[in-house]
Amino acid sequence: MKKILLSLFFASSLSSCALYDAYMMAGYDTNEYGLSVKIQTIGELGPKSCSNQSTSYLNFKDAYEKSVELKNFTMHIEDNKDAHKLATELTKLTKGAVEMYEKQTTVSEPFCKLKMAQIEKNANQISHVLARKPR
Amino acid sequence: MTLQEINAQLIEINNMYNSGQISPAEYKSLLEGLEISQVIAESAEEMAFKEDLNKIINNAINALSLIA
Repeated sequence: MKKILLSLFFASSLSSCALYDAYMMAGYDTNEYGLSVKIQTIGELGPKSCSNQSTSYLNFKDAYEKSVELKNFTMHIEDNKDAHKLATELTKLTKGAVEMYEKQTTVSEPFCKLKMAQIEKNANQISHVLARKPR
Repeated sequence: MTLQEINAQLIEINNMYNSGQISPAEYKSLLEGLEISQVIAESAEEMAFKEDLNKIINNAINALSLIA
């Protein structure tokens, strides 16, 4: 009984827009979660190849392409703007890395490792919230 | 990335740039990456809050349907 009253009190103290947004949010999607985990994995394993320019470039390109796929996948699903926003930001992050390899003939190993760390940690955070979506 | 991780990486990036281990263009790209990380952190937090709220609403509805 206490739980019900607490839930009702909390729910009634928020604006109707916030409640509607939360209630109607898009549910868990295996494809969304799978893509973000793949990007996270590239970020985790990528640093091992940072001494090799061409392999690193291909790894970053792979992460970028998967980010674009995630962004496109989340785009048209109803009530999914939060996931789409996260995917869009991740795409910007991975695109920056690809552009560096396309602009510079030699990219430093420290840059590669730091950028991979950024991709891994952000994709991990996104995977976490995508996994918690309502089922 | 958490705010602590962002802060820690900022220090590392600055040290690497000052010691000449990364180029100015790489430095700029990494800083832009941290800016994006902050946006992702804030958006992820908002989304997590909505997910918690969704659970509360659904629990309340389920509980009410038991009474009614």
